[in-house]
Amino acid sequence: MVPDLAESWKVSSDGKIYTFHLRRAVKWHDGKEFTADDVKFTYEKILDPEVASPLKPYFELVEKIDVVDDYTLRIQLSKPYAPFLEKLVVGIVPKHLLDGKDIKTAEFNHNPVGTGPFKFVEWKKGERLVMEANPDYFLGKPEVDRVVVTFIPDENTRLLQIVKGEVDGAFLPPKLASKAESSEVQVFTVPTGEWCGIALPYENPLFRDRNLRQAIAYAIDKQAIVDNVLEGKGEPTSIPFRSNHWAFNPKAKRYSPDLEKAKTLLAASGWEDTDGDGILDKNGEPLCFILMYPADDVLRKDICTAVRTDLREVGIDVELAGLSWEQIKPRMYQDATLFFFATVYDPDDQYPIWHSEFIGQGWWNPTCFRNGTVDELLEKGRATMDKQKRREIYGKLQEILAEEQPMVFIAFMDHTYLCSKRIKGIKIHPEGHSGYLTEGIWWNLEEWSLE
Amino acid sequence: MGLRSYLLRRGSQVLPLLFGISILAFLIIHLSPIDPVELYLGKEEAGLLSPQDRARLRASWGLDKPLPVQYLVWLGQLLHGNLGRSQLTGEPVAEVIGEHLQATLALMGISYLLIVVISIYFGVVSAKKAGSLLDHAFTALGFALYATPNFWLALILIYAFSLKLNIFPVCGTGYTREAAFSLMGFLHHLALPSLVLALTTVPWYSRFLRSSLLEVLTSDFILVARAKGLTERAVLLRHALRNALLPFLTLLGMAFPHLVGGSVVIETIFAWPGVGRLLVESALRADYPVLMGLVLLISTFVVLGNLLADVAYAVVDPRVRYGGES
Repeated sequence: MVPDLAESWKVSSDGKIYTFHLRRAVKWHDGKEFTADDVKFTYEKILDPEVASPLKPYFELVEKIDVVDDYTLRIQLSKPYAPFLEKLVVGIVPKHLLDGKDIKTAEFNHNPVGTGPFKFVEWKKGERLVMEANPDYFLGKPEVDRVVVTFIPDENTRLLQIVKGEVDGAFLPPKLASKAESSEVQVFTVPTGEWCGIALPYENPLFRDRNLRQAIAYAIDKQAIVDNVLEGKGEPTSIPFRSNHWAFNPKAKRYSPDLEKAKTLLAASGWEDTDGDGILDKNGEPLCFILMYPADDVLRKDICTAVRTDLREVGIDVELAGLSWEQIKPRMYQDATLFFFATVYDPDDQYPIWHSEFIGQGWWNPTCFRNGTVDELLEKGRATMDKQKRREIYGKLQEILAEEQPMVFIAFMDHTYLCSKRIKGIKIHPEGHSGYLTEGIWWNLEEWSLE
Repeated sequence: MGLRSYLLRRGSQVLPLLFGISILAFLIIHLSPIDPVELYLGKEEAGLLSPQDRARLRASWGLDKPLPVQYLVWLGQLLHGNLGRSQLTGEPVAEVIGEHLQATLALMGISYLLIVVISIYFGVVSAKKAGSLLDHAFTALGFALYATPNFWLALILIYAFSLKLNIFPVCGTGYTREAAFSLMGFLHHLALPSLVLALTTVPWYSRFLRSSLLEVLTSDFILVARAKGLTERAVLLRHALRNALLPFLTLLGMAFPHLVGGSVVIETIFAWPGVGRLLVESALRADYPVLMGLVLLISTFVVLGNLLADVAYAVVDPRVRYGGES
């Protein structure tokens, strides 16, 4: 964690009381002073049922928020919650502009006022967002005077614009980004916590067989997918933790391509090719399943196609189904789906993906994974404050997930950004799913300079 | 049937049609499986929300009421000029659409102009040189353009005119990091998208004008004009074209639906902030109020465009009025 509006903080030994000392002399863009009242107001709005904020579940252990003085804030929790500090990282809103207003429809949403390095100037929907340097920014006025964000939905057009120099930076999929290498453009590869995996839902009796799940994991050549589909921008994996994550467990089981092992596991479950058509069968039923992906996503389609080719090698027939998310949703507990999830910082991000209480709750726990030990570990992980102990807890979680393979984990993906060479001072920063203006290469916009 | 009764009969069909369209649009959108809560908060975030909070959010949009009630509420507001608020941004729908409408009207206006100019040129030249190599070439080019998907044509023209020849910008409206809004910049950025939008429509109109001209050229009054010793150019432009142009211009109203359909793709490729792109984005994000406002607006334009074309045609050619009745 890096200080920003909070200069320092202290967590009580029982992990229940957080005291924050805020930075002094910070001004909102409209000139008013930023104080602890604004922070209290923001967190209380998140807890307000009328606001219906999706962040609310992260704040539900909050018992009390006290403003000690203008620059000191104390938050009391009903019980320890290790990822809480990370959950507090949200944009703070000015109380003086929003108090007593409906936050969902307030004018503020179209004319925001913050404390950051750039001030809002204009937002022309679907066209551009204009910001200008804030001369009163508490870390000093940025060198870049004006930032214009243009909205270009078509990836090919985005590529042409950056190549022609009409824009200075763009986010593009790896395959397109690789076409733009020139003397004018620099390509940045940003590591992410985004991973992809094939969910094999337990509601489908076929996928309850662990041998089958492991055989699929052994049959897929993940490195080939990274090399060919992701243009080398990624890292093959067998667990949902990247190798550079602090909680990564190197001892968790790994699945390298091993077709013989896959075939042995399938044979042990009674699958054999009795009719010689190359597809295994049992009791007259061929070994086949449907793999769904969102039809408009070329990257996911390419990954699924590679998976189908690999599984055919061991006698598993996969039928690909490119659908809309709305079509996938009612079928996702029966058919396999290629999912992307992100675990960037705190390992508690795994909670809704594997905890049984999330079965049937939207898109969470899509495999309907129900494992008492895993539930316990996830609960213990968020209630334990000691980092070393948490490492052990999540290490154990990784061992179980690696063994069980409720999802066949394929790879962590990197994101690619193109940027004009006239820009200096870019520092890349790991990110989650992608595309936000506070992540990727945009992370330190206030430190950029132009040649 | 007189012109007045024709107008009345034709006009009286419009209101029930629009009413039917509004019901249909309302049903199609509201019966779709898209969960607006998921689209408002994000697929994953919505799953974190408790069922009570979900229900509260839906209620705040009026989605907890029975469909007929929702429709009547929406219609009642509509009659008061209120299209509701965008589910995503909370802004008044009329304002959101209004902002995007200017860009689309500019795009369509220029496209119309290009369609008229290019179609007349190709139509006249083809008719004048009917059966010649040039006529065949124009016919082949016309078929090729007609068969080319507009997004493909757009990418080819961007490649040629923007990347290789550097004449036009790739996309946008003219607001760059260096320049604020200027009319010249705006028109410069408008050139390629309007050209693409026009080119895929032009063949239809130029072929129509060609056959219309050829038909007129065989009329008796053209024989008389020629007999008077007028030059072929004068016969063609002054006599034949004037007669062939009227039905052609009245038919232009029919181009509107095509332009609306085309603008959805063109505005997305050229990042043109018009209603076509707004339509796609609202559909993807299930922003019901904006989507319904747009469907109604576009349908009204299409219906009125057709009405205008029919009426204009009836004014020009009285046979239309009496058609089927006599």
